[in-house]
Amino acid sequence: MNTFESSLLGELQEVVAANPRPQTSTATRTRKWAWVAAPAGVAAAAAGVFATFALQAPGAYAVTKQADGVVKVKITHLSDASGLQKALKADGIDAHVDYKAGGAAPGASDGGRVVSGTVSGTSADQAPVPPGGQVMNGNGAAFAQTGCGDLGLLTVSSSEDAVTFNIPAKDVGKAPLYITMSGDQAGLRGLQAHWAC
Amino acid sequence: MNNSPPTDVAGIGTDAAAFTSFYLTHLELVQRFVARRVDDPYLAADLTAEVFLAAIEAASSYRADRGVPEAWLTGVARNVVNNEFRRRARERALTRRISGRRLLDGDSLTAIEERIDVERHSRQLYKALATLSTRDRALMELVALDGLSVADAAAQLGMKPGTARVRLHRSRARVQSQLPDAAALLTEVRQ
Repeated sequence: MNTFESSLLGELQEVVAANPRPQTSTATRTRKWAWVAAPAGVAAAAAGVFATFALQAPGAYAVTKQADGVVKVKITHLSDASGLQKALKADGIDAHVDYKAGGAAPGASDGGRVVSGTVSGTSADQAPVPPGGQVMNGNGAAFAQTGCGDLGLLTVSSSEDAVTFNIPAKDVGKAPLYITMSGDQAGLRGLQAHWAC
Repeated sequence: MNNSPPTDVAGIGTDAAAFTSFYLTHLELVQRFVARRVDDPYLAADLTAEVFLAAIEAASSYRADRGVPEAWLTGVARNVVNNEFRRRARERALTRRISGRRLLDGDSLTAIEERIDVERHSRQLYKALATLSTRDRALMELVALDGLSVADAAAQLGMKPGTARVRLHRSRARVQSQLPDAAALLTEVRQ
């Protein structure tokens, strides 16, 4: 960058810094981090991912199709499921989005084993590791299962206020994608994205 | 367009890190966009600042399903430059939040001048587009001048891609019939 370009960047950064940050809601629920994972067990999901999610951020979602064809999904709030579904369909992904709060984790009703736990502590070792999966702890929790034909893994990651995952260009339009909420009586919730194949 | 890394466009209005990444990725796009339309380096510097300011303000309205960030930013830049021309036509006093020209030093000025020189053919074409209707002109600008795909340009202008193709075809014929060099310009501008 030349002098003009770096000076301009500096001034613009000041403008951005002066803008108020997006308002964060003051949710009454204080328990934030949890996940409920449904291992393959029976029918549907073979390549799936699960991530923890905080329910406190405003906004809803962003779907970005990158120049290389990868579709990036960022979910910041569990609202407007139909909007997200529509946005994904617009990019050629047969998406089914269900944010039913506190619903049974996929797999529980049809005999699948449900593994659940809270990812709020400090040690990843305390969290049960679903078969074929890998769990990292806290921010950046990610989990994946293999075995869905040639469909790639969905690498999901969570940050303090969002869950993001990328859909590889080669997998767009190949199989239905399910994005679901899951939780238990205590209200522990997780977000799951998986292919049906 | 180019293979830019993913940018959190919605966050650039409030997140300095997201903005910096966005700025570095799109600086060249904006500067070239401006150089295709104005030949005064000082004004070009001002407009470059204005375009990014407008992007910061409009960031929260960015919708990923309406097009790639490059197309969105090109739309923002087009509005800024058009506003500038309208404002000048009314001879209204210009008040700018960031005076781009104040940031210019000798080397930066030379760099802008070089970019303006490279884009001289584009500016010829830009002027030639004056014979078209506002809507057709906007479409031709985005596609022939700024290199957006027909689909992205159509989305920016709220048109169906099929309609856009027909309009582009007619516009090309019209510009060529009125400007003998237009055919060469149309191919030269986008290499």
